[in-house]
Amino acid sequence: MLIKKPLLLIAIFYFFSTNSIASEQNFQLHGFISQGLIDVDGSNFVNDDGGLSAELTELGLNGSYQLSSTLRLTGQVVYLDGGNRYAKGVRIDYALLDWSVYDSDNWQANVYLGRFKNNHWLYSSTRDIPFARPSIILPQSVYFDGFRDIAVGSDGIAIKISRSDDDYGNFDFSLSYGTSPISDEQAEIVLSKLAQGKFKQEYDASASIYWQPAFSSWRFGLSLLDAAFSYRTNNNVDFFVDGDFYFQFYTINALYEGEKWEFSGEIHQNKFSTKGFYNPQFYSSPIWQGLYVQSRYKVNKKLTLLARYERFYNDKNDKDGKTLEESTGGLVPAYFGYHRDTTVGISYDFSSDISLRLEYHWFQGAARLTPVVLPNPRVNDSKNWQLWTAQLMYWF
Amino acid sequence: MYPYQLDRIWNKLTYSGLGVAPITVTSPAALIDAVRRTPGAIGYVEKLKDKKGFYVIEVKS
Repeated sequence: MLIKKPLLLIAIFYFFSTNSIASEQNFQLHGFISQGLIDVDGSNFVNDDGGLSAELTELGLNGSYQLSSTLRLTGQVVYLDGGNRYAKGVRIDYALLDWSVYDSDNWQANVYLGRFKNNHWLYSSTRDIPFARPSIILPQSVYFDGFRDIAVGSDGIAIKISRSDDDYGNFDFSLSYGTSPISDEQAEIVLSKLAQGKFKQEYDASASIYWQPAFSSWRFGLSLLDAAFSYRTNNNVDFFVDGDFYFQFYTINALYEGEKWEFSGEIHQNKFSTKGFYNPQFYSSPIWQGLYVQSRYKVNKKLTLLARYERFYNDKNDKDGKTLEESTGGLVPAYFGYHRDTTVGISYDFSSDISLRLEYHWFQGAARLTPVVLPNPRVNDSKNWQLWTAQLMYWF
Repeated sequence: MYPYQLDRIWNKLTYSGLGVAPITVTSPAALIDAVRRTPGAIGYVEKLKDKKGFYVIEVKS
């Protein structure tokens, strides 16, 4: 391994000696402030009128308190405003008890109880952290903003086991089980305004494994998710009927981090089953597929360039969406069956805690626009749409 | 490992609830002071005038 700055190595050893550090400093406070501008042409991704918007605000404050050498309490509150992308407002991002069950030279095991973040996908745990994710707008095939509040984490239990040695490298194994509370706004984003009943997550069971070969710049990951949702009508005038939804979501990913170049990619498949909901006998089970490939290049210490290409299909047997259009009698145009995004961006670090990002996206297709279950072709009336955005961020 | 990778690891731990990032210091003097006050701590420095209380290993490249 190449150590560019030997002084930084002290940090590693500090981390492994948190027990003694803890006696000096039991409490840590961190946070971030960011504000951006976003302009979307040709879709309702951010707003319905298509004008320049300042609905790109992300604020966060977190605290960590070391109760004993093996127990820690931590939580983060965030305020998010992303326009139509997700519900606007304050939420408890995570609030958990971290129990360090086992710690040796090669093994480390932690149990997290409470509200924890999804740590299974490449960027899932930092999707709301402006400076810790690769771009302002993440690849929507995996990090779909319309599912943000459901996919971002769960209330329940998570386990992380890490093993490392110089022969086989580093392994991280994570398991989690829990549910996410679903707000009325989130239900509206996924279903539609017409759904007046109760939309609830029954469970989310996830597992992932990551492997970084010894002294390698590569890291490989695999994740599995199984989740169920229910919809129960609350009165007799509901547009829909009782229904159940099931997700079986698999991802594989790879990441290369070199001195100047960085490459990453994630491929996923999701079996999305619907029982009922539209009518009592309804059943469908399309398989969604998607992938993105991304590269970042560090021009110098301050400037980083980004390029990414992404593809996604709502049904692997209907990649051009023609069957979707035919089956809805032309009500839902074919371009609602897919989503493509070509992204370029730059990131400029003014200092180690202030950064500015700019990016441009060319999209084709409306498969990753909301509402999901009942698409809105009246607002999203074009196959091609574009987005530019800039975001300034500060963290401590 | 490159410095930006360390930054990413600490940022991920700090802002996702998974762990605690190390306490950072701003100068070699502060680093020496922190290592002196923290039992079991290890640090790298280019120069160390007063070796009292430290176990020092010289690293030669």
